Amino acid sequence: MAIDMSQYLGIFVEESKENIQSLNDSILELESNPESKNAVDEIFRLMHTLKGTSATMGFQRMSKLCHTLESKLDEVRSGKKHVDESLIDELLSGLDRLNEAIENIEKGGDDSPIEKDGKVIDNPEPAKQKNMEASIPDSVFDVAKNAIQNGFDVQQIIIDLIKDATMKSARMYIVFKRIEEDGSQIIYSEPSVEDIEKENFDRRVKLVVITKKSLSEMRETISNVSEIENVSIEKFQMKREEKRETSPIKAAEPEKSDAKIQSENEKRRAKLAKSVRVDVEKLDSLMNLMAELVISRSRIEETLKQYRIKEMDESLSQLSRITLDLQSTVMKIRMIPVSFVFERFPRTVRDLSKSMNKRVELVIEGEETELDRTVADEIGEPLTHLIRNAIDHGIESEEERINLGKPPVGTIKLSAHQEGDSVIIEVSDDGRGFDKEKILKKAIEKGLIQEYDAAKMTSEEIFNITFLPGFSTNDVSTEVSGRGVGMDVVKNVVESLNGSVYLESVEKKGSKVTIRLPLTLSIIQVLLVEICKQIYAIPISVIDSTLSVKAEELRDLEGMKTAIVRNELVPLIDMREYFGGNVLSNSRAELVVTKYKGKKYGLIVDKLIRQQDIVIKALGKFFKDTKEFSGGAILGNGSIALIIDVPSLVERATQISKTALTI
Amino acid sequence: MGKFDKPFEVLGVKIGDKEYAIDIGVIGIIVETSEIARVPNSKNFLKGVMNLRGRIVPVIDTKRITSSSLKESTGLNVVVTQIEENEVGFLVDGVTEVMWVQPSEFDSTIKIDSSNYVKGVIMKGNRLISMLDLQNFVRDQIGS
Amino acid sequence: MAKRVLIVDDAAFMRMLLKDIVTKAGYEVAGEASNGKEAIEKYKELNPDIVTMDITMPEMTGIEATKEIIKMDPNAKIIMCSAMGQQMMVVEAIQAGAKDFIVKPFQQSRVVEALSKVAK
Repeated sequence: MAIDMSQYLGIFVEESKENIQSLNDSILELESNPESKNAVDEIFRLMHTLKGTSATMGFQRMSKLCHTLESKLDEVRSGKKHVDESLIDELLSGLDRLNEAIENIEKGGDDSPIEKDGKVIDNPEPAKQKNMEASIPDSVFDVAKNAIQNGFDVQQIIIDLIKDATMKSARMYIVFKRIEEDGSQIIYSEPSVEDIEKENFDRRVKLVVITKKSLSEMRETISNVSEIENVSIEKFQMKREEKRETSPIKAAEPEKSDAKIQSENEKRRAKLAKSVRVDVEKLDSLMNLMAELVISRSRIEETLKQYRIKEMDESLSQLSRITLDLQSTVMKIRMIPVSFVFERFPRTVRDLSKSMNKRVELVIEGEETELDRTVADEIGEPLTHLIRNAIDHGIESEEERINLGKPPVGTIKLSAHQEGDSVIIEVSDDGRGFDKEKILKKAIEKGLIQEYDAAKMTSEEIFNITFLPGFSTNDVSTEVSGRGVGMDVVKNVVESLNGSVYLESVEKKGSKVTIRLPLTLSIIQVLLVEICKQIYAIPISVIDSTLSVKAEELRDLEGMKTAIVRNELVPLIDMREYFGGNVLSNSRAELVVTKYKGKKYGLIVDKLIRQQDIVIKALGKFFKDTKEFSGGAILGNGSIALIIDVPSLVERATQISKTALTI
Repeated sequence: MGKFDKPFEVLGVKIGDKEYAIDIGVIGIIVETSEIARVPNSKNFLKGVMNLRGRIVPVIDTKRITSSSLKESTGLNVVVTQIEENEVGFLVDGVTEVMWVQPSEFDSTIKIDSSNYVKGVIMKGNRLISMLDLQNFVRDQIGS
Repeated sequence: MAKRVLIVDDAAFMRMLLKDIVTKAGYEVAGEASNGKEAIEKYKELNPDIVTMDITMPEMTGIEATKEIIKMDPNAKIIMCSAMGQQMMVVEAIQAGAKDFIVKPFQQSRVVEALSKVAK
């Protein structure tokens, strides 16, 4: 009557992935701060959890590996082992294997990737046996020392049960009983007695025993228990004499941290009970329904307005409030902190910088900034590419940096913050920056630009070349970034998310890539305006103010219309003209003043209609070159309002007026 | 020309004063033209976008991808196609009929319309109908 | 001289099975019992070298019987026969003095190993 564990497989995989990610973070934390007891405890706790759950699911290889890694941590916890690079490497490579196993399990396989790699040894070799003393708390050495002085012998025993031993805990109970029946005393066991009782062990138990028996007598006693495959006994080695002084404190510590782990476990459990996992697809459909609801509400509103039924007003405004609340709730559900994306990068940076022999520090800021789940899912790859680029092409080698008078360790900064309806993600480095000459040379070579154009190009335009398909600045393609994935991929992904990407670089100082992404993909608040008999939407987030000015207050200044808005000279874009319609001469002009890169730009429209929530829909690939619009929205009456992308509009419109001026 | 070895089914449409045919396989729905929102600064063959049951669908001014005269047309119907996951509407001045075309009635070597997106002529009695290649058109526009 | 084994199990089928394994392994079956009480009586009567003791039996359980037998003979060699999931009872029986245990369904090799190790 075995329980069908397969029903738990999904949650097991999910949880294991989370645990692996958390492990990754903690291991890296430990690497940068080897003294961190918290990190050690956390890694231990997570390993332990993973060990338990994988064993429960029947993934013995995983469980075994976790156990091995867990014991390393235990050695650190008890002060027997120090955190060094080899330990971190071992933990990380172990983690990789766990990850492979989980991925395989997710694909419907098992945890075989672990053994296939031959990286987990079924019977830890005798060499490990010698290491045993490393994991033993100092208090045990004290007791052992005492016993020896009193004429006892101290033995360390390693017992391996047969492969498919049943009732391992009862079996070990017999072993313990046999040993102690003969007047010997077990002073240490690994795993702990509790773990043995709970059958929290694989096949191997290590003991330290005080006895009057000889090694062979002890062997005889233990081998007489059935289902034991192997017993190895040797004299317990007293080492670590030099560390004695600190022992009382150190021996006390593990208990303390055990208690802490427990309480953290409880906290975690409590948190788990309050949250529910939801399939992203369900959230998507919730969002779609939400969108439909918003549209229907607008439609009802519009229809009812024609009849002016007073009794309906209250219900209607209530409906509006509720939809609005519901909408923001649904949106919040979809929001996840950007740390979801960022958390993989410490590892990426570590591995890459190591493989390229560079020293790089990754600084992460604003990881609590939230963005839409869909955006988060997509943005990981471009960011990975930018970080790779920064390490590969940006950060110089250590000697080079020293020669340049830079700090030997390069810094890559990954930061996120919210700005209105956008999330800004920046990847910057203090490396060598982009070489404009090199970019131009390569671009001309590849026929991306013409030689005679090159001279006229501004820095910004030059840097923009790097976003063209198939561009790479490094002469030698490396293992890391020379994979044919270029900055164009970054640009494509960002733009498909209705975002924009912008590169700044100062030679020899470093470079910065700024990615601007919409906070959410679907619903925004807009101001509806009429331009040439058609309705357009302008996101509220970019609007500074609206005002109506007399026609004679508009002036032409260097080929561009301007107006004074609150004592400020604001350039104007006549949308009627820009959109190619007829400009009716009116005595007044309606202005929508928008902000872009800290500057104000006024848009002249025919009419301001109203503020409204709209659901953004993509215009589709046919309009990919029409950057002035970030999408469209279906209004209550069924007609479509195009959503004006103010940054692109301003960029284009000002460019046009500039060229108009030079001609 | 594998496909044209067998009889195939097309929809006849009117564009200006000429008749064209669209492969029935790509057609999703034919609707009467409702409001089309013009998208300023977009390609000239793009009439705009329309609301098709809550979806925003681009509408192609079909006469601009053929060599039919650019005289004002009625734009009575939109033939909405589904081509490689893209829903694309094609504005036409009316639909004539759905017809089966025998391989013998189709000639891919003759073109009475010089457009790149016409792939041959269907001869039904004395009617000469240009076969439109909308798949190719969509691929070209989206791929570029 | 072949060691003599007392087989205690309430199921005739299990006794038959064990008898078969035991004799094939070169032991002599001293006798059989189908509950704890009977086991104690047979132990007194037959003074076997080894007892295989089922845990769950009517009248008196194998654990109680083990306790009684150990009281009479602290050197009694009792092997518990347990079903999966009876780990706690097995531990209790070992505390009471049982020397080893085997788990159903029996594997011949395991039974033989337990017998030979206990017989030493």
